[in-house]
Amino acid sequence: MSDPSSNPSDATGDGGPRRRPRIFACNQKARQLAGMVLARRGAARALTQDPPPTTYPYGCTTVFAPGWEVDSGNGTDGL
Amino acid sequence: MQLRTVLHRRFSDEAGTEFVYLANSAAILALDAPTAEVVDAFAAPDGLDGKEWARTQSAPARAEETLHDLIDLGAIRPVDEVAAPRPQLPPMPFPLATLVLNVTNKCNLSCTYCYEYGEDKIGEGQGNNGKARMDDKTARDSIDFLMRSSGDRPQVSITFFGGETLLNFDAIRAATEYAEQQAQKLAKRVHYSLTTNATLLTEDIVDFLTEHRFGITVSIDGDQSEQDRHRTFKSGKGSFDVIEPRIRHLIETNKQRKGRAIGARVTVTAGATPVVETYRYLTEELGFDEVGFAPVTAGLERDYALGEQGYERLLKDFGELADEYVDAAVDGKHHGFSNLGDLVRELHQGVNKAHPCGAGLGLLGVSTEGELGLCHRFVESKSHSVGSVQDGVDQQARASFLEKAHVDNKTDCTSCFARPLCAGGCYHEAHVRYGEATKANVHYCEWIRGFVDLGLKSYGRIAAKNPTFLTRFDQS
Repeated sequence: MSDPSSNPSDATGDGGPRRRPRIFACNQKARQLAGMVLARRGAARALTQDPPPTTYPYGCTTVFAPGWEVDSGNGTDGL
Repeated sequence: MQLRTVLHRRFSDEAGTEFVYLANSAAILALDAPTAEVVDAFAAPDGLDGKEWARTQSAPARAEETLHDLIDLGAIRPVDEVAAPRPQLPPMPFPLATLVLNVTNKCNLSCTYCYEYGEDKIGEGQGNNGKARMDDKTARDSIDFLMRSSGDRPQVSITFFGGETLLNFDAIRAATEYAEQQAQKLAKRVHYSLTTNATLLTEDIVDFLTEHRFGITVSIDGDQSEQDRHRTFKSGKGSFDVIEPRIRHLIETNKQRKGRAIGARVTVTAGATPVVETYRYLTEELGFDEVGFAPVTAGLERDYALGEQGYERLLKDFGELADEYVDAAVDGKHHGFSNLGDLVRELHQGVNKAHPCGAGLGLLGVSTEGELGLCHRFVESKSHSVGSVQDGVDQQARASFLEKAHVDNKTDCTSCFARPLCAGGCYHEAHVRYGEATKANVHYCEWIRGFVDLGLKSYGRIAAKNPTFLTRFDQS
């Protein structure tokens, strides 16, 4: 696993000795959420959430289309 | 307050690292064992009272801290919390990214399972509708339409499709050369791609395609016996002997010119060779860079349709290829199993789709006569028309379809952890199965969930052993 000290979800914020994180943000979306949490905690702990960002795909669905004629990179070279 | 873990999927790797995939955000979190237990405890149907639960833990302060972290990350939420509404549409008009030009609706093959020529054809009437070939003017009009509809996107994509695309190479050449001129004027980059059955590849055509760095997908089902089972000429003769030398020439030329990856698209039918063997043949014997497998789309009554057992076997075979993909990723190497590659990329980015694909959004199809369809599969269906390249997009028809097709309107998807990736699946498939493109494809839910499970486990294994590999999928 990556160095947890670089992970924003290691948000214990207790100033004490660093310990293994309980929660590790693996993908980009998790890192975005963890970043939002840390930013909010700068002021106060938030109890509500904005709706998560929505993705609007550009190409043919990449994983489940029966055709895969066009990939999400808008071409066919990822097929 | 009564709290509950949101819709999610728990998984772990072989080393015991625990993960959770959150369906409300598409976030993937790795958890230590006590935190994983919290996620599981709060997954009870009625949830738990947070304060009461913390009080009963051996280290209440630490437990409460963990719980609050999970609440803030959206993993655990109040039972009665109403989800914040998502927009039904992005700001419209949504700029086009890809235009698929159906340059011909004719084909020189007569593949038994083809949606274009079989019972799944959705144009009015059976067989060949509209003009057989797109003329050069319509091809150029299509380029103009794409350029003016793509807003400030610095790059657009043009995909040529058919029928057999290369039956109308004249239109491909005309469109490409015109697009080059227009792109230069407008300071845009253009990416070209096409799908072909490879029967008509000549030295001149290969030269043109590689010069313009086309992304090329060849529809091929495997070795000679596999290819000739379904991919036949109208006479019934198999096509393998015709395509094999042409494919070798294409791949060799493309490698010399350092072109884009060339992919094989395999339609998987009942009784087909295991995909691992087919993958091996196509990459090692023929030299393809990528291989994508597509289960045939057909009703269960067809003898080549994949029944339940066929899908189970396919998933098992995918598991074998996934092991190879993970091993390569751990070593920092590329592997050409494109189904899994695409899934891992989407998982890494945390894709959370409002619609299953870009049809009608960033992607439109153009018929041989210049009519616009949601995608290339709908271009000859009048009831799915969304305008023409000459008159532009019928924005009302487009918005109306997209609102109806939004995943939040598909009640069948409400409780499925795979919804951020699937969003109900292919519109064309839904139209063929249920007569309504905006319905969820419930007939392949189990297959989808099985494949997403495979993707999650593969992702976890890579994240644990070589997370650097995943940074290639980072989206800025």
